[in-house]
Amino acid sequence: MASTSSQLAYLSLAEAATLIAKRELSPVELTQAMLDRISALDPKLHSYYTVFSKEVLAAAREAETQIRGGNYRGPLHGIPLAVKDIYESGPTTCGSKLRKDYVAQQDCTVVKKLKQAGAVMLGKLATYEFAMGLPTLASHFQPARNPWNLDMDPGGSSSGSGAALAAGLTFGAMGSDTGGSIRWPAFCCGIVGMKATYGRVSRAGVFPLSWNLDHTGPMTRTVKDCVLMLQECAGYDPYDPASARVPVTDYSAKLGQDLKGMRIGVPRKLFADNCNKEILAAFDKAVTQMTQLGAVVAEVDSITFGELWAVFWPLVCADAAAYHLEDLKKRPGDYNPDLRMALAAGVLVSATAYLQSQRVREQIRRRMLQQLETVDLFMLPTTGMMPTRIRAQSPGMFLMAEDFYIYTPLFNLTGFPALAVPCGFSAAGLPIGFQLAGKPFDEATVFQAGYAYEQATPWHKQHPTL
Amino acid sequence: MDHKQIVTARLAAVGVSLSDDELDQLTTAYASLLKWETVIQGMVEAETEPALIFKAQVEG
Repeated sequence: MASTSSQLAYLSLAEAATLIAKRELSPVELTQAMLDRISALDPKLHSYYTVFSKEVLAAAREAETQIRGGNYRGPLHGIPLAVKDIYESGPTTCGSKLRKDYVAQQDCTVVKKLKQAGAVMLGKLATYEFAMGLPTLASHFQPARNPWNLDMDPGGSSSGSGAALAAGLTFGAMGSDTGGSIRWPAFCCGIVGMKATYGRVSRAGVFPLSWNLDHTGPMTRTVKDCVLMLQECAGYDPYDPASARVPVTDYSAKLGQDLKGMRIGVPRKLFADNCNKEILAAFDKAVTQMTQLGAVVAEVDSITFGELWAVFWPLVCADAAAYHLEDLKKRPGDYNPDLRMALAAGVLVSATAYLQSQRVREQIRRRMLQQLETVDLFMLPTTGMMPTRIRAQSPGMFLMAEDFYIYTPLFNLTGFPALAVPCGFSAAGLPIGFQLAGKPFDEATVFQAGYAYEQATPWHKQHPTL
Repeated sequence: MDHKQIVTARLAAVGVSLSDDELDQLTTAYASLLKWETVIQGMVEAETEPALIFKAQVEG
């Protein structure tokens, strides 16, 4: 197949898979195109920490031989993918000076599953430090850049995953999401990200931030691609104590079905008084689009943003502090300053405050489950703020700031599946998006609505000029 | 004891030390944590967990 590098780079995963299955596209050609593009563009994007140049080409050759021999495994066979650098597979730095020389002895469960499905691994993608600490130009690892504006942050903590996808440097990536780290970079980079139901995708071999709130999931350029990746990486894993013994369903079952009569609830109280006006306008247009597609959209009650923050931060900071306490005592200077302080804040959370947060969290979850008896999905902006500039130095403690408007943690607290989808651009040319969340383990309905919206709009077809 | 002294003492108790500037920032964060404790207290529903369990048992 005669194609330029950028034509290949912006094929969707599903399109590339179809061509490979028909033997019209060689996995080796596709992988080489990715490697060439990474060499050309990543020096200014910093989306990859490690590129497995030799290994990925060898794997692509093997895939090609298998497919030629009639042993086609499915839509990920021969597809180049990459994972956030907190997933154990070769060098796994977590974006931290503390782990700069750490090399995993084996692949984590998700990487094993993706490889078993035939995917070939391009490399390891940049992350906020330990999936939390904001990298700056002064950090040990350079921050990934937003392909839509290289001066801007791509969102985090799955920053390299978002940047590499938007730049056409991989066909899919794995991210992790403790408070929005799949969905926020999806918003900032104009891509799609699925935080699946808590326990749906294994976290075994993925460095923890909060055992209670950590989720893993795929990031892609289209909803269908996200479906294809989740289908392969979902499932019970005895090595993850939170893994759910729930059968994996067909996530593509509802793709293409219309939204006639689908009930969508908008928890406007959470964001109405604090959301950026451009984001709110794009979101309201998306709501109108959903209505035109046949959905019945109505406002539903919710907690306020202040209440969300009050419940979320004590949990995540205390969990993270518990994991990092020994390094925080012995090597505090090796953390980025904002992470060091967020971990120290976790030390200050009292046991009673932590447990009260957990009680209220369960109450919120129960109330929202009741709401899901009258609506099929929730729909809301992913965040209320546009990306910020890459910083030269640490801004100090910013994560817990009360004007850090991001609405994603609601679905880490509840564990519901949540999908981030692009829905426009700001006047400055930066992407905007919203999120859809549904019943536990009903990813198929979330994908149905996201796909219907995506197919009716042009946003997923636009790519940055690099 | 003011908030900064409490923060410093709590961190020292577990062997964590930070710069004076960072302790100032953390003192602000500590004030947020205290405020959030009050917010959470106001969110706890009147029905206690045992009552909910009893209700669930009665309702089957």
